[in-house]
Amino acid sequence: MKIICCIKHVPDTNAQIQLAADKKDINRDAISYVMSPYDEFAVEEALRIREKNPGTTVTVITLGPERVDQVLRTGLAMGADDAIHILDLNNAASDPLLTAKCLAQVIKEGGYDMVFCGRQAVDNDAFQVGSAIAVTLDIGSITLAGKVTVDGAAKKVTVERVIEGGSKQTISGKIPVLITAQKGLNEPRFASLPGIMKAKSKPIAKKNVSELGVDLTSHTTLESLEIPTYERKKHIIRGEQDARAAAKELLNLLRTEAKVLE
Amino acid sequence: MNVLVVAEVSNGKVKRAAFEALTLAGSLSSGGMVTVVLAGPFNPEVENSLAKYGAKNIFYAEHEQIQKQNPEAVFELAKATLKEVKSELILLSASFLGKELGGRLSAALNAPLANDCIQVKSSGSEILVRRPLYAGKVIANFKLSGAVNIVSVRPNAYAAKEDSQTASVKKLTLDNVMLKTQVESLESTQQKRPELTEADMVVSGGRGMKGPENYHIIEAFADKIGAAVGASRAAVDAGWRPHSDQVGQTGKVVSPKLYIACGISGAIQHFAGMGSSKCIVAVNKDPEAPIFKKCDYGIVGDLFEIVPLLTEEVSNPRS
Repeated sequence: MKIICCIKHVPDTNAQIQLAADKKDINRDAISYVMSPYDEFAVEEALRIREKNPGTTVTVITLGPERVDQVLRTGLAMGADDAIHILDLNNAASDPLLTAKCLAQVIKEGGYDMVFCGRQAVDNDAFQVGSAIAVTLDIGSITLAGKVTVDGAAKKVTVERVIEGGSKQTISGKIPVLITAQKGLNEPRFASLPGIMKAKSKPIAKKNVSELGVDLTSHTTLESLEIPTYERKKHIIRGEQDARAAAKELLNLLRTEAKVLE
Repeated sequence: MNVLVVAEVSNGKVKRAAFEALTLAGSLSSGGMVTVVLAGPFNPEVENSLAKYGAKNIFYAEHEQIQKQNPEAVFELAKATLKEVKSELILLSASFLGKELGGRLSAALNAPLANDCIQVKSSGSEILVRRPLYAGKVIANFKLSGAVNIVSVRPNAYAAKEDSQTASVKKLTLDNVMLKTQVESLESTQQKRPELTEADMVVSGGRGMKGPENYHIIEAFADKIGAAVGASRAAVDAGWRPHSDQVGQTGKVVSPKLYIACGISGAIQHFAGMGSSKCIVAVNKDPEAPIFKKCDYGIVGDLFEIVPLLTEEVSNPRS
């Protein structure tokens, strides 16, 4: 089986975000980047499927400027066999729909059996690329996987997932199929030191976004970014001595001042 | 413009987020057709409630996979409906299903998508939206200028208002559609608490809860005021609470009118998930906890003492 994982290099979730001067991007100068956390579950699941299905290969793929090479190295250090970097130096395909079309084009050329993505990337939170890749490729897709079972002989996957309201759904599909990973799918491994050393010599294939034959017309325009500010009252009640009085005072404030409680 | 709204159903009733989307559809359509695609089983109560909030057309399918909430089946029904009623704007709720449909429809229609919007306006044929990025650390203003535009709207961002219409109802069949995925089983859990992302009030517990066995004090208070129950990443990673309860950048983003954080220090990751709540309350024994600098009201004290007292005193309107 051939498995490909779509991964993204995103600012660390602990990062303080500031805006660039033109307010069209964040200030990327002092940002440390990580693999988007949901993508880690995706890569881990692919590696586990490889362990159970001899002959399986795992490829990691990303799209972006030069720096996003690093996320491919992380994927390779976790254990992926090879990597593809779709170079997009001028953010020509940063619209998630275009990202999906470009990824789909390369995935189609490679003839993969399974495509894994994170449920969303935690930078732009578009929640779009995975589903859009599957529709572009005309293959089945299952989002928010909490458990994945692969029957290689029957070319069938079965996914358990939790949807809104806590309901549990079991969905099956035929290979080729795309799956997006939810938190809880597995415990992603850390890249080991030998893994990191080995990753340095694994191949990263480079393709340019302009060479894929994908129409890069975008109908989404980013007008501006803002950092939201919220005025908070910071009314602090000391409750160490008289907890009951503090509880009563809080409830009173929530009713009469904030008016958020009946 | 004509607007297509996908309405989700839970336990035989249309979800409130669908009425919110319908209200928004009514104001954006300026007299155009407002059509509903029903993402669930049809019944007369569903019809009446949708008409009450402004639906003029309702399309549904009696298909086993729609009943079982297969996103692909709802996607196919939405595409079939668009063939019946051409629509320039598709409005979804920003639920997991809504956001997935957005992704699917964007590729199928080659249409721009903005998921999880907190504001949606029209300007001629273009759509202007505001949506959070980085789980709310940043707000982006986007312009969508497709022939068709797709938007999913965050629950609670718009209030639902009644606007009675007479709706015409049409049943479509998906008989000639070959689904690539099959929902084999759906185990519906009867939720006794509101859904985290749609709740007016949320009570969350973090590392200060000390263990899963102590969450009953959070649940008792939440049930008393009708709130949903959430958790911090620390509590989820420790295995005390399910992933579906996590509030924060790698969990759910909530925006209730009242958010009560118990034993949560207030990491930036957590704030990303609840920072836009109308009123934030913190209960923490550490007076230096960062959350006290970003809350409206706080009690410095032992949550194991304070929270049960809140549960007890909240029944007394004079307290």
